[in-house]
Amino acid sequence: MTAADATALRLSLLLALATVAILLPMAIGLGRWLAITRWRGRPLLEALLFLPLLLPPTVVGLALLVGMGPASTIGRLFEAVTGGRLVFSFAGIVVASVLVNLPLAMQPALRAFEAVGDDLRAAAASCGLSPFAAFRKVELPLAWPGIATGAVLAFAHTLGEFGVVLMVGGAIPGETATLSLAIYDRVQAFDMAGAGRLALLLTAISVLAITLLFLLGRREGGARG
Amino acid sequence: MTAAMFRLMALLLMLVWPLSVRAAATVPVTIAAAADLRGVLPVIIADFRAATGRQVVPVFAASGSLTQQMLNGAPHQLLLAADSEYPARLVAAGKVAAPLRPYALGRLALLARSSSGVRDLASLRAALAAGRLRHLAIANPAVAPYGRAARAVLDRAGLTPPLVLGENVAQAAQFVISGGAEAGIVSAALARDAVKQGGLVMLDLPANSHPPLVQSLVLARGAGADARAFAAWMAGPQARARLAAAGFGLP
Repeated sequence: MTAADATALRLSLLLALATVAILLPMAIGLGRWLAITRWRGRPLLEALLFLPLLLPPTVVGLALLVGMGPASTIGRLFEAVTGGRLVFSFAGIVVASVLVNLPLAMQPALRAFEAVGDDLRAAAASCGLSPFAAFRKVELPLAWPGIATGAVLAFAHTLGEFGVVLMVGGAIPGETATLSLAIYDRVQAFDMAGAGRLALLLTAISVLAITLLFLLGRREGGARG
Repeated sequence: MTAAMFRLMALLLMLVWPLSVRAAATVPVTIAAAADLRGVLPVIIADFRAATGRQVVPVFAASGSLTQQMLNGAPHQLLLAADSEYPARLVAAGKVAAPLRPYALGRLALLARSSSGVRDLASLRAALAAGRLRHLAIANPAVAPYGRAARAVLDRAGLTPPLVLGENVAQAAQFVISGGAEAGIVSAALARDAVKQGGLVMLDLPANSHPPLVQSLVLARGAGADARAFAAWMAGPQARARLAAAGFGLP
C-alpha cells in the first residue's frame, strides 16, 4: 500500500465515521418524533426526507454544489465562521454524505420506534416513568436494533459513495479523494493492478467494519440495560 | 444501555477528531490538469520537485469539468487545460489572473486493438463498412477539447462510426485498453502510454487533421509560490523536452 493509498483509505474511514457520528443522534431524534407525531404533514415530510435516495447522485451533487458554493448563503456563512470553503473540502463531503445517508439511517430507526407502540409508552407512563426515562429505559433499548441497522447502512454506503463525493469534493488528494475515487483514478491512469488492489482493500475493510458494527449492535441490543 | 450507546458515540467522535486535524494539516497545493497530461505530468512534477524541492499535486479530469469545479470554488491554484477556451472562460469569470500561457500543442492519435485490423483511417473506414467496428471511443466533446478535436477528425474524413464517449480522454483510451471499444481517437501522448500495455497499435494523426489544440495554463488568483514556480517550470527547457518526447507539439 502506497502513501497515497493510505491517505485515501484514511479519508474514507474518516468520512464514514463522521457521517455515522452525526447521523446517529439525528436518526434517533427525527425517527422518534416522526414515529409518534400525529401531525398531518408527516407523510410529505417523510417523502421529502427520502429524496436523497430517489434522486440520482448528479442531481444531489449539483444541488449541493450550488447550495453550498461560495456564492450561496450557506457557503458565505461557513466561510465567515471558519475561513474555509465548504465545497471541495472535507467538511463539504461530510455535509453531502450526511444528507445522502439520512434516509438510510433514519428509516430503520423510525420503523423501530413505531414498532414500540403506544400501548407500551402508556404502560411506561402508568408505571410512573417520566417521558425521558421511558424513552431511555424502554424505547431506546427496544428500538436499538433498528437504529444500529441504520448506522451500519449509512457507514457501508458512505464507504462506497462515489458520484456525490466526486461532484462536491472534486477528488482532491488528502482532502476529498476517498478510496472509491482513488480506484476510479487508478483505472483512468491505466493502472489496473493498482485499481484491483485498492478494490480488494475496500472490500476487506468494508466487510471487517460492517461485521464489527453488527457485533457491536447485537451486544448493545442484547444488554437491554 | 443508553450509557453504552453514548460511549459508542463518544468513541466515534474521539476517533474522528484527531484524524480530521491531521487531514487539515496535510492539504497539498493542488493543480488542475487536463486528462491528456496523465502520463507526462507526473514525470514533469518529479523533475520539478528534484530541481526545486517544491511539491504540487495534480488532479486530473476533463478540462470542462475542471473549469466547472474552479468556477464553483475548487481550490486549485493552477489550471493546465487541453485548450485555450476553458482558461479564457475562467479569466472572463474573474477566477484567474490573465494572461493565458500556451505550454503545448495537442496531437491526436488513432488507437486500436491489434485484432481489430484498424491501422489508419482507411482501414477504419473499411472496418466500419464491414460492420467489424462496434464502438469507437472518443472523449465527450461537451467537456473535453480532445473529444471535440476527435469529432473534427471524423467529420473531415466523412466518417460516422458508433461512438462511445469517455468522461475525459483518459477514459476514452481506457475503453480501448480494456477491449470495450475496438478503436479510439485519443491524445497522442496517452496512445503512446497505452500501446505499452500490449495488444494495441497506434497511428499519429497529422496536426492539420483537426483545429489546433493550443493547450494553455492559467494561475488562480492568489496562487502560492509553489504553483507560480511550477507554471514557470512548464515553460522551461526540461518540461518542454518531456512534453515533446511524450508526443506533444510545442508552441
